[in-house]
Amino acid sequence: MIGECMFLMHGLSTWMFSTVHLFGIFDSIPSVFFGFPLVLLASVVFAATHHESPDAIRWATIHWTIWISGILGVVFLLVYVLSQGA
Amino acid sequence: MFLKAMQRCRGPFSEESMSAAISQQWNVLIVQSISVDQQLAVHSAWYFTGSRKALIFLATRHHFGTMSMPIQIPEKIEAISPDDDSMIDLRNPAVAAILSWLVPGLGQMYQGRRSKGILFMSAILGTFLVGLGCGGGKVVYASWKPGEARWAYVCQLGAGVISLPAAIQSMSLSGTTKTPLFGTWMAPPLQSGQYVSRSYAEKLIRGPDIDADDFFDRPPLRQFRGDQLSMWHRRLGRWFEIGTLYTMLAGMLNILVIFDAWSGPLDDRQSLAAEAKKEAHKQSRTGEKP
Repeated sequence: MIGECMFLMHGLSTWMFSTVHLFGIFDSIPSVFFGFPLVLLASVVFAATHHESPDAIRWATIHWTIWISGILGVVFLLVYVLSQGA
Repeated sequence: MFLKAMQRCRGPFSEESMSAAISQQWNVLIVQSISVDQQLAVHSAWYFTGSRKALIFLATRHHFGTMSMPIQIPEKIEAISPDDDSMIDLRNPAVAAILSWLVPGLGQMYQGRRSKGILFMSAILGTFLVGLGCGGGKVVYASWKPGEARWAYVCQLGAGVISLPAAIQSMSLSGTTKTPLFGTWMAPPLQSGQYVSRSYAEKLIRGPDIDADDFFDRPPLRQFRGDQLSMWHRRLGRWFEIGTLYTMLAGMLNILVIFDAWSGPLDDRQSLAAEAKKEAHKQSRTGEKP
């Protein structure tokens, strides 16, 4: 049973990896953009651990996304400006 | 369930007396001439309601006639929803927290918060699997060798049972057989000079990174003479880092999910009000005046 599960997981991850690389479209995307889904994930989890009703979770997700994106955006800008100066 | 069981018994205790007993947190219930059937019914009812005092029934089940039993009404562990002030039954928070660690969201499902459980499960497991896929299945592994300790695994372990095979693979590879249990899946990378079994070496040679020349023949084993981690980095490039980041974050965010299963939704602004409401609710249940 465990072996079969592992085989399935292995197959799934191999398939996902080959899908990601087969099309080659993701290779041209700058790495920083791969952080957006993580910001959304963190917002959803933060919102859902602070609220119980779906509507409140939805609004809190938007609220957290704006805050996290804002803070990370400022940090990103700061690093960018500093790197330009150097 | 408790009252239902008592009604079936038609014993000398009335429903009113049981209700009165239940309305108190602690009480001493005098049960006279209790029959074996009644004892079993009471015992099973208490067992299913989760009271630790059910053990008392086990201890006293052979005593017939008049018997005095201290009983504790199991206090419901509840949290207050910050949105509509409704009570959330946390059932057994420890069990819920463990379930949430094993499979993200499972603890919430156990507590009857099904939609939230599904949300957590899809978000955390989805991110973990996407990360695993980005990293070609190589980013989740456990290794505590000097100079190659995989600290990211501590975070990945937060995602629960999905990351546990890596620990098993690491232990079995460093064991006497020198062969991971589940093939190359989640197995730690080989270091230069590391011994592996011949069967595992052949499996690796069939893979994309390693050739037969990368092993010395040391019967009955084979000795690796490359650096498999560097090979992975060379082949996967930035995807290794992206995959590691996704799986780590999924594991770390599951800590919040575990905490949600343990104590309900967090809301700092309303925590004081919630405490007051909880206290008032508790007092209304016990019949005490505030």
